[in-house]
Amino acid sequence: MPASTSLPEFEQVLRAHLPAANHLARWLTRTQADAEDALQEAVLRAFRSFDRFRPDSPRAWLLRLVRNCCYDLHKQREREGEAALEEEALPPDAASPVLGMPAESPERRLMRMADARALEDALRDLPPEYREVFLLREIEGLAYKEIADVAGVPIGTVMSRLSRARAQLRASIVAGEKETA
Amino acid sequence: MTCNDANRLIGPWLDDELDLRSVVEVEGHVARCPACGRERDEILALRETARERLPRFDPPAGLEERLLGTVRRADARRPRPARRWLREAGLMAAAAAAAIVVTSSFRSGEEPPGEIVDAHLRSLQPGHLVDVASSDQHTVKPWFQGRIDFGVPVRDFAAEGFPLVGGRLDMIDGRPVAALVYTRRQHLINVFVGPVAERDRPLRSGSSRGLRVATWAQGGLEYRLVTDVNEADADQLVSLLRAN
Repeated sequence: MPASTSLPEFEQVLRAHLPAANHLARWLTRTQADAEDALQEAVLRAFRSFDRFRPDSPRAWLLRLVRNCCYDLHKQREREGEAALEEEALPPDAASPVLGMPAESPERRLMRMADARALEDALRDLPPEYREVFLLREIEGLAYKEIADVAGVPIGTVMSRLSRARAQLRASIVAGEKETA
Repeated sequence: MTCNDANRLIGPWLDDELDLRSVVEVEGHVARCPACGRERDEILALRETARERLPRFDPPAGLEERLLGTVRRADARRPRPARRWLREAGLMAAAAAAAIVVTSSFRSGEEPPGEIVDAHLRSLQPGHLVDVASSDQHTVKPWFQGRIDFGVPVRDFAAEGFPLVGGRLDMIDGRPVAALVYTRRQHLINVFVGPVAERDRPLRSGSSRGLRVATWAQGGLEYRLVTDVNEADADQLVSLLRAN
């Protein structure tokens, strides 16, 4: 029997946003088991603060907690000598615009952008700060303001990270194609 | 506008984050500039691939129950602050308000809700429910802009137990309307919103083919709600939508 009146409300919020929460956690950790660890912690934190504070956007609020727990888990794993989140520095020219790349047919480049496997690999190679911004925007459909809330950064940072994420994804997809060609 | 300016704005433009004036400028530039046109095409191609073909990672079986178990155990361990009673009293007041608002029902032969009920049933077919799936009013509202020529008030009522799940365009009586989709537990609620000549019209509700139907007009928009939730829940959402 529920002990509090806020529990049913909280359960509804959780049910409604669990797919998005799980999806983000999976992309920010390596395995479903790690994702679930992060989700368990996030849900506990969320529930504890739910009574004091009703979020305007429950989804952005829950995703922020999930995201923070994924990063915490990563730090913990690092201390334990493993890496759950890969943190690779950007290649020096990765963020440079793709506009000035050598001429090739636009149709061909577009086909490359549509290669799901290449996109997945490129996304995994992105630093998590860029990866999350791209996913929150393109998969979850969050507005910049909400992404800023989730990631705890100003909107300007969201814009520059998103722009760099897109440029980097396009550059890696094109580069990957050339390697295999 | 130079390519440099446009290049910075193409992403925010495609993300619906620009003001109208900048939208017009970027659109104008992109229409004339092949390089910036390609920039737009590639961002859109990435988006489409990401949305349609990246692995979805659905929650595994049992995850929801395991997480809810954690929450329930945490809940059972905590003290119960007195102020929850206040919130309960607030909910009761809202329910009372909902009961008062519903004043008249459909008379026979008046405003046959057939079309609305048909549109509701159509939306339940696979792939028909939402064109824009989002519980976020700030995503759903801009999505409608540019697709219909009237403003749609979009609000999420997740906190009240009616999470917004998305929106779509629909046709009622041959005219385009915005359909907002809410859920109540496992049930769906369609709210059709479209312009109407009279500014305001009182609420009428009733049932048709086992579904609850409520219609009213407010601020020059006609609202038509159809759902299979029970009467009390339908009335609560109606009063939430009407409150403003």
